[in-house]
Amino acid sequence: MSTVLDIRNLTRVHGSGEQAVHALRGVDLAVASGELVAVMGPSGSGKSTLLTCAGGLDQPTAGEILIDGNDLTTLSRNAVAALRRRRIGYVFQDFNLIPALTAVENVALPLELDGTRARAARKYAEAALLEVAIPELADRFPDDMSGGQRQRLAIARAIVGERGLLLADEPTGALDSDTGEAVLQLLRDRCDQHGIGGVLVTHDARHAAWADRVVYLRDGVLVGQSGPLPEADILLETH
Amino acid sequence: MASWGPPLRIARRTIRRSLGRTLLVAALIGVPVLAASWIGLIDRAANPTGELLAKTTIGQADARLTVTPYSKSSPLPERPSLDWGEPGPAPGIEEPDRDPTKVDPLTLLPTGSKVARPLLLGNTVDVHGPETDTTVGLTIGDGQNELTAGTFKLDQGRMPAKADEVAISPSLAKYLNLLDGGELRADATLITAKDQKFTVVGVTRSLQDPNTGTMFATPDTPLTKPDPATSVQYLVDLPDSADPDALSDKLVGQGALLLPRANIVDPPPSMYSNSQDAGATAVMALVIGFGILEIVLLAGTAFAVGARRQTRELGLVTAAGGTPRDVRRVVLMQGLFAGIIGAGSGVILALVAVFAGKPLWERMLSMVFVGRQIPWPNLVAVAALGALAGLAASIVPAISAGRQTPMAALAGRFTVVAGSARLRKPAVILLVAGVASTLLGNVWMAAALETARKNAANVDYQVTITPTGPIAMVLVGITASIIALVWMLPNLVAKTAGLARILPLSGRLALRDAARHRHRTGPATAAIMMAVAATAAIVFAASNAIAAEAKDYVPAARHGDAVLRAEQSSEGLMASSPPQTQKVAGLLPVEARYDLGSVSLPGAKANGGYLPTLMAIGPPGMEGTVGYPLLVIDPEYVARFDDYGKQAAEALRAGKIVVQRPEMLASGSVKVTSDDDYDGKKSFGHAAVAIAGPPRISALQQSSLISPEAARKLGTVRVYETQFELKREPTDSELAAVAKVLGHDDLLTIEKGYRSPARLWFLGLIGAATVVTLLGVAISVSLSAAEGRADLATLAAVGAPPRRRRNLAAAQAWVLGQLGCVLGVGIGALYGYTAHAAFGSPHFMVPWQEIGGIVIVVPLFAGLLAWLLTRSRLPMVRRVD
Amino acid sequence: MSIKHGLLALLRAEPKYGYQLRGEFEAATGSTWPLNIGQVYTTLTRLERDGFVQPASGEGDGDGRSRYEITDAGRAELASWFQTPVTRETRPRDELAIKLALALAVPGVDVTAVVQRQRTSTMESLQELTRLKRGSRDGDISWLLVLESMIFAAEAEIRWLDHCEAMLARRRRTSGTEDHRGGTQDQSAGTPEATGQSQHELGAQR
Repeated sequence: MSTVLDIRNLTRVHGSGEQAVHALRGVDLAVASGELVAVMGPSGSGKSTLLTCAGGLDQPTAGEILIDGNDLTTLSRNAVAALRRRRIGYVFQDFNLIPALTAVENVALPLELDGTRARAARKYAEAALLEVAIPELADRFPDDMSGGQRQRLAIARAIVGERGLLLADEPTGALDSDTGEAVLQLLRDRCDQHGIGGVLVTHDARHAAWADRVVYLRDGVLVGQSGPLPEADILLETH
Repeated sequence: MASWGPPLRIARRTIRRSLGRTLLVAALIGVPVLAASWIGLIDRAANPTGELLAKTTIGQADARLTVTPYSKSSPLPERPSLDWGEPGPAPGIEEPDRDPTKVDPLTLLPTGSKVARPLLLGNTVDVHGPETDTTVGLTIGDGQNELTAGTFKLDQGRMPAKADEVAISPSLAKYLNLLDGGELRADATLITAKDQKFTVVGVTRSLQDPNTGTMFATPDTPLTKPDPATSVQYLVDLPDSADPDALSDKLVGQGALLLPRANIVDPPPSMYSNSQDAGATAVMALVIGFGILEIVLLAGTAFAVGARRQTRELGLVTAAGGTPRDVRRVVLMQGLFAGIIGAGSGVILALVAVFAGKPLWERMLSMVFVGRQIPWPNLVAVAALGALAGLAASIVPAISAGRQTPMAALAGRFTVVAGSARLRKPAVILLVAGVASTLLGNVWMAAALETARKNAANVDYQVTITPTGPIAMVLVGITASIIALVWMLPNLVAKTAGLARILPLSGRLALRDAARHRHRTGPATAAIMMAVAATAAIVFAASNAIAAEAKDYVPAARHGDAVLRAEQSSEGLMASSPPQTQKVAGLLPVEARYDLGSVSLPGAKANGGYLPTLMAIGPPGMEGTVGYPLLVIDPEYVARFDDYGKQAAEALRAGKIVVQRPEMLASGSVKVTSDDDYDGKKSFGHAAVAIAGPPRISALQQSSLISPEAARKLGTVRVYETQFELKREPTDSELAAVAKVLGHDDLLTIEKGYRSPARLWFLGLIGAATVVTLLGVAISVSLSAAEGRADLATLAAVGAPPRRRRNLAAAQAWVLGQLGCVLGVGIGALYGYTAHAAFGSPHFMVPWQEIGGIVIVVPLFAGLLAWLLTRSRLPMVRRVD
Repeated sequence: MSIKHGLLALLRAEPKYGYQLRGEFEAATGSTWPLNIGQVYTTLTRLERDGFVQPASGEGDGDGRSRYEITDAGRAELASWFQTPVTRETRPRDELAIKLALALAVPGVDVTAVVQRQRTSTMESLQELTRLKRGSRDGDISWLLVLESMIFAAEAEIRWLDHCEAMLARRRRTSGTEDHRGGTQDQSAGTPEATGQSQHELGAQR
């Protein structure tokens, strides 16, 4: 299995001087294709920052973020944007759907942004909607949907096309536990069946347990991990 | 909580929190209020009333006495006031029967009265300048007398007291180099063109015209002789016992008019004042109304966004037990606050600007502000109008905010009815009715124009009509159309979203977004529409007026020739000075020189400044024109004009007069007489030929021609115009040299055919339309950027390159600009079509270039602006605070 | 903890052999509660002694093992068991809580490491449980119920561990501040969420 995402010594500092806030201090994380990794930690542990940096939405202060072997930190803004619409699918806690576009247009958005013809993009988008089991909502607007439907729609947008990496930031945060489980099932299946690498940020152990591996963030540092490949030295690391 | 407290508090806090938007609204309201207040203040400063007016007109005097050249006059129909001139002669008196300067005013007044001559602008005087002579105005009066104090502004020195003393205006002092570091030289003297020498004793300005070159002299100045046919005015100081009103009545019979000071301070009621043209008032009200509507629309856009962003907060008001009325009040109060802030600061800024910048305004507007009168009622009215505009701008957002369901409001969801945008029926009906009314009005007007043209078939001047009925119909129609469009625009914008399906991504998003936010894009588009409509209307009107003008244009000379007109001399006679003309000819690449002149009988006397000239008597039965003046012209000049020219030149060389109409001839001769001989009693015959179809040269059109040789046999020839045939177009430096010799730069012109004044003008207009359009677009785009930041972040998150976001903003600006421009041009064309009849344009001129510019360039420019203003670097993650 | 009542419940429908009981017990509770056959027979003997079950009439299976059937007293006991809620006091003492308490009391033990190790282990069982849950999507409902009970227990334990950790962290920070500034600065100690304030979210406000 190849490594989809390889984060090395990631550091992110907000502000400077007295007011500097260290969101991340030298985090290493590798995600293989087909693997779902959960990042757990309390509020303020830096887990969201880790994800935004991995998705190229935020610029790290130091460190490397390799996606398919390309270091995000050295790429131009346009190249990062291209990577976001081709390789990275991002699922947000509050969905972040464009209210002016219909469901199918929202899903087709990354493809269209990438220059795919509208008709072809729509076909792919419809397939993605079928995968998340809401094909009947294709022509509805996000405002007319329930929370679960919207998150399914957001996942459809994140998996459409040839994505290799799926980043989900508290995707179940705004949902009840049953709907949340269904969403997790979707993410899990995606990783298992399509060989996508996934990173799931959550503070909920029950949801993190869906992952192959769970890593723990405390004050911007990885303090441990549970899963099939425990590394003893990480476990014993304390601060 | 049906009280005003909480809404007021929330409104106040919101205003402080979203300061940018509040300031935008306040500025939108404040700038027009500032302008209106400024105009009001300046107008009052220039046109004072009451005691101040009395001081500027009659100084310290108790009354103004006018002595007419008639010994008896008929009484005025009303009490005397500044609006009344002098009384006419009593019945039976036709000619002036006395010299008013010889009448001693004191004999007309009770004993103990004192009089002084007020400072009045009379004649002009030519003065020796450092380079050339210059003509200055001459103001005569008893400047030393205390009665005149206040009617002028003395800057330095004193007013003249003796006949050989003068005071001069600052601009004249500067021109004559009499100032030394701003101070008048001690030995300053002034020499007139007639070599009279005067001591300059002071620098002073008249209140009416402070910036022009003016001399102030005493009444006994040798510079001018009093005209016995003109009335003389005196400022009068009456003894305390005198009753000015009774005295005024008494003097009417004696050929004099006494205007008491009280009648200036507090004008007596008059049936003639305050009567204004109702039509003009209506148009004015309409223009102001549309202006306010424009402001309301632009500010309304901002409020719509404010209410939109406040949705959650307003939802909380509802959740806490507030009624929709409370919600409405919160939004309305914000509107009122913004209006008051804007209007208040507008008025205050205007006050500060007018009084702090007094010297600047005095110089720019060339007048003297005598006092600090503030027209409070006007200012308060303007400010109230501004505050109301703020309130009006928040009405629609307030109503829609009040309609939100608490659940939707709490969720921060703004109910959007996507896809169900139907045009309101009443609005559609109103639009149809408005357009129909406009068209009907035009049909009516066209009929009236046709009739007028038929009636005036043989008149050369342009027929224009402004009948009240059709124009009122057109105005009502246009107003109805505008109201209907403003009403339906939000839904119309939503309708256009139907086109989104076929557009590329940016366009689709832009259209959908515009439709979703029609609460703000609607008014913004309406504002753009109105601005463009006004511009388009003016462009249409101007191009039709210019078309009418161009049709009537007759060149003064052959294309490319130079025309030198003689200056009006102080005797009021037109004559050029040969040496000057010679000098000018030397400065230009002259090929040939032709003099154009008139001929007068030997011994003809000037009457009232006009020297009678000879003319050929017109054909019998022609009304309006009595005859065709004789134009003394070199046959060579005429010979240059093709067939007509050859024939005419031949006839001229033969000593004959050339006329245009054969009916004027009787057996090869035309009757010639002086043009003050109305009955033709002194006419005599002269050999003539008739040649029809003179070339389109203004001098040749309405004249009969005579050669200089033949003319000299009839009397004195006076050249009033010289035309030069040029080898090439003169250079700018040559023209500048000529202007220096002539002292003016408009005496010599090069004939270049009809020069439309429109180019610059149109560019300026389109510029103005662009500015307002861009203002509308910029407001809309920036608000949409504020509102759509989350969407843009999402776009970025799913991989939109930075360029795409700019495209999106540009596309939306373009869509709104385009819609507004197309509708605006439509409205403007409605008006323009009416204008073509009103201006008498030969046909309906469509200024395609300008209209095309508005319709294509302005929206593109708006898009470009939005593209430039949109930050491509957007913070996608932001710290939660 | 009642194998006794579990066996009674399984016998309610019909008489069963001991090995049969063991199989059915494990099927109902998942393999999470392994039971050896000796335990089954010991329990059955005890139940027979108390008069809740009795050997069933009829022949054995040939190996000398006989079927057991429930008595009326047994039915009454079962009914009262179902009707009585499980109180927290009746559960055994939690070894983990005691372990942590002791770790804090005994000097030289890295409590945070203990917490983390425990959490890693609990998370691994939670992952295992989740995997089981995913594997039996249409499995019978009683099994899922038991699974969920264990998932919730594991989840609760992790949350409790998280909470312990947060408490420890706050405690450490407080004492650290006191060491540094002589205990004068209480406000800073009162803001353990200082870093929590700096969380970054993407376009959360709409």
